[in-house]
Amino acid sequence: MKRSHTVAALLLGGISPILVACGEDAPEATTVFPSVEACAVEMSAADCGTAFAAARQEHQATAPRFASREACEAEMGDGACTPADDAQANGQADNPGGGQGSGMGNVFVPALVGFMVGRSLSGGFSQPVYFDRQGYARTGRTQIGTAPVLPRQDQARQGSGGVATSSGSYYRPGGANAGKSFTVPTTGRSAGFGSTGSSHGFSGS
Amino acid sequence: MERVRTTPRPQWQAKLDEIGFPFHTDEDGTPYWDESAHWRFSLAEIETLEAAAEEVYRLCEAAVGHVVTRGLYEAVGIPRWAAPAIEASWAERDARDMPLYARFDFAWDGKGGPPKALELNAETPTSLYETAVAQWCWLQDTHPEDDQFNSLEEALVERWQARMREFPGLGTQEEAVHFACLMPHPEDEATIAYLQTLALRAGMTTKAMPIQAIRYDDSSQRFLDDAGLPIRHLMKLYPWDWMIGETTGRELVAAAAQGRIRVIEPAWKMVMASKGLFALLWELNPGHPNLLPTALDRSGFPAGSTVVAKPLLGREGRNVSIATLDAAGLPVGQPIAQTEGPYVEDGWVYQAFTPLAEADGNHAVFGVWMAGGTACGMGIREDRALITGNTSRFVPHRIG
Repeated sequence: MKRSHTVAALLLGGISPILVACGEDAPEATTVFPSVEACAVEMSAADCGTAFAAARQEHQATAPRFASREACEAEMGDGACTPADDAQANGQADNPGGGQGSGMGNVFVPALVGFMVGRSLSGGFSQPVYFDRQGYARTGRTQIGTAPVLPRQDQARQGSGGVATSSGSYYRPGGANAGKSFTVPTTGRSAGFGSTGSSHGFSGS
Repeated sequence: MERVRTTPRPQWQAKLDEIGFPFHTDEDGTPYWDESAHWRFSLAEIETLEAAAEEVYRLCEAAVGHVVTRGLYEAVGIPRWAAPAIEASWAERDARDMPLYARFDFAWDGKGGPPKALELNAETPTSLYETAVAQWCWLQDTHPEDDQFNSLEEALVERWQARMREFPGLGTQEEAVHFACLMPHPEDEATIAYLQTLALRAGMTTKAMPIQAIRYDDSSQRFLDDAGLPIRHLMKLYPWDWMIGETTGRELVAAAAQGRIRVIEPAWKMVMASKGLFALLWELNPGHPNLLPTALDRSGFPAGSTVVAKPLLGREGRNVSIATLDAAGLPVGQPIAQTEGPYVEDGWVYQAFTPLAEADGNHAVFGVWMAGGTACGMGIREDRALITGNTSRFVPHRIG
């Protein structure tokens, strides 16, 4: 058997998970949107609203839960958590650090920072996306990608046109706290890797 | 086999952009991805290449074992002090220091003789995405009824799954694999992003980062990522022999030797990736039909031989020259072909010249991909010149 049957999956730029397809099975794609508004640039507003609602419901059901904001932020990052029943009904990703609701008591979850929408001929799916303190993008308890290595706040703040499709322009949680947990650590020293390749113009063999 | 000229798909550039392969055209405007032709093979020909690759890979593994057990590191251009990492990882080569992938370069004209292995790119093989994805999409668009030597993607997912079986923490997200390359470097970043995606599909937690951002903490003896977290599994698209020469190279050797960091590819791949291994291969398997006479010293070649000189630790076809030798093993006149480059200090390996497949003035080298010891796909590079290099065009293939 020489033949490959699968659809290729590509994580573009290490940032935004994108599934690509080719040949007769196309189109199939997965895109992470920070908001219904950004989603509506590419898809119908109704589909986006449905997808967001599904992602939000999924998030409430599957995100790790913490007994306090402090416990949640310890794992997820400063300002990255929200009460579990925080409404989020306006179609925007969470406003972490805010949210007064506490209908379920003192239960906190990582703030939803976007939702991932898959489209294929066999139907779509929707998944919530949040980041943890280490910069891993997660859905439920599953890691799905990585945050930008360095926060790209300028890009993330640009208009809704190309937001968060494949350019890695999304979003650390927390507005003013954006990028806080990406501070370059002071522990240790530079390992010094990369200097040879930088001088050789390396690109493999 | 034959080279078939074809009309490129309409909007082929846009199609490649769409699937995440924007590197189809070089900076000077010449195509890197070239679908104005493709190579058509019979299934029997593909099976010949597949069998040759798996056979030579077994010989390469045996040769690495020969180097390790006898400590022949100088012969492959590796400093002896790197041996602890190489030996520790070699002992775990079927388990926690399993290989991921490699790519052979084969010369073969299909006219009766066997394919000849030119080299094995065992650490940082290029053209992964174009092989696994771009040419597969090309096949779907142009010859959907045909086949292709290409199960590379599935094979790599299986390799990641095998790694997860060795490290249960990878499956439960207690441990992560860090994917590092030079950044900014769009092509390498795309390659590790693809590998990362396949690891994600296998269920691993992953994180991409610039290799330049790796830190080392002397007090804990740990390598750290850009968030200050320890790196336990490091997939680096960057050669071992460079890393060990950099600031914390000795610390990396010590950490790998003690299993405090698991590197992909493992340190023993440093031996397998050396061009010098092919001299040892010939010494251990003289006359093997899939090998070419190869030596660290050119005096052994008969007068009149045409011989290719390559740097022991060279890459991208740089610093390669082809010349005819006299009775003393010295080049006669000007080289037939040669390339410039930075790899002039590490010693040389000499290999008997053999012609590549040639058609319409194009010379094609057949890159057979290995996942572990299994041949799982092919990517073809073409050049008008005799020496295949970084700008040689990628040309798709089909079995039909």
